Amino acid sequence: MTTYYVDPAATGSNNGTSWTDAWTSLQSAADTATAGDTVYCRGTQTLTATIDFDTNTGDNATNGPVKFIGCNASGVVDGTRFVLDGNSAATYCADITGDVDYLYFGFFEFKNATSNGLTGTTTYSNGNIFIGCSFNNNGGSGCYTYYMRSCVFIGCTAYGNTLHGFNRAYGIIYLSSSHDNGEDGIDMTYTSVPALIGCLIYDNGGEGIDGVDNQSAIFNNVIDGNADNGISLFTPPVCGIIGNRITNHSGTGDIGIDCNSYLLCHGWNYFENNDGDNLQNASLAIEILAADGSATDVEDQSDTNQGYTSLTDGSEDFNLRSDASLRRTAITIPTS
Amino acid sequence: MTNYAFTAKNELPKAETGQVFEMLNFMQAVPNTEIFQGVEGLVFKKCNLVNCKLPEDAKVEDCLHIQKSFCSHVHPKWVEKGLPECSDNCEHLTDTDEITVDGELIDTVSHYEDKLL
Repeated sequence: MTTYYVDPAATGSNNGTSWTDAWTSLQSAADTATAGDTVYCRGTQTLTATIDFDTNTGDNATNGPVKFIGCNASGVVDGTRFVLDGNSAATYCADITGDVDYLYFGFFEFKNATSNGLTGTTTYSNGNIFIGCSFNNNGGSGCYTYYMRSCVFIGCTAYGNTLHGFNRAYGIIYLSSSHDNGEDGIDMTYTSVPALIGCLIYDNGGEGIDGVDNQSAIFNNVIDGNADNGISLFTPPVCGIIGNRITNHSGTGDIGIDCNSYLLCHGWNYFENNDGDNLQNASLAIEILAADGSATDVEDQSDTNQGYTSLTDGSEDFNLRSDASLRRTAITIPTS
Repeated sequence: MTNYAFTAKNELPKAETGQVFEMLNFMQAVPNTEIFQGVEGLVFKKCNLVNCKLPEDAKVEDCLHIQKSFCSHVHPKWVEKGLPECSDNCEHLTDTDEITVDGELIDTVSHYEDKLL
């Protein structure tokens, strides 16, 4: 279990053994680090080509993940991100395609790639983890994780990307944001058992959440002001959409939840100012009853509160405030 | 951040000489779409400028600024946002799979990709 260092501005012997002698490219670390190793990274690496993790197989649970962690200028882990800048030249900032398991990226920024910021396709991989990462202003999607099973995103943000913020999110996205992307905030098409919990998804050019797939859990999110529908279902069987604020959808698609003839379990959601109905096109919509045992019909209705209330004081519930800026900042989720 | 993706010229924010735009998404469906022409001294920071043609003296800092030919087969919803509809054998066609049964061709599946210009 070795510790390595990456600093694009390092001027020492560049063998990765200390900050002074740090590698100047993350590619060296991707080619060298193995299970249980930690790679601390600081500064900005301006790319001309993709950082390719194809020779790094990650590991199983025995020795732990290969950890890549961003640091501040002093080499301290304080939430400062290590920046991979595609500089309008690299196709991807990073490519983890292949049988790459258990990579851990903490506090990384993937930006300005001509295609996806981070991409991982073709072969199934497992258990990759992203903490506090940003995927922004990329020419494809912010993060494309098709075939990456059980990946986890915590405290991440995807914004200003040309296509989707998170594309084929095949795992768990927790306390993260996706906004101002050209297409959907989060595309969950062809994913199984994904979970989306406590996220902010707003002002995207497509749907807030598209392609809600097998046995998805969509809990306690704010889905606001996206150009198309708030949420669209993709395939059966049942998914759960519970405790979300789904508001201000108008234009091409304007439905709070478009079930596309599939079935769902729903409850405790708050719908407001969607031009279309709260919920449409369900083959079967099973509603969770409110605390007092009552049911609230939301199908083909508008502006309905299914019993979504603050746990403490409704007047202080950020999700029920009319001011969008307050809704989006009242909890600490990175938006940039 | 504000999302001006696909926004037509007349719906963009009003720009004044020397204005600084930061963290905005101005991406357009069609390459070299002119935005803010005639306005001098503009500065763009941390913006998505895909397919934008900016005034010649505009400064671009830490932005994505590329031209990309998008295919309507890949992005069918973008047609209503101004992307021209492609023909079946458009420039984005990368491959075709011919499906035959007992030697008889019954279908052809075409694959398309956006092209970086």
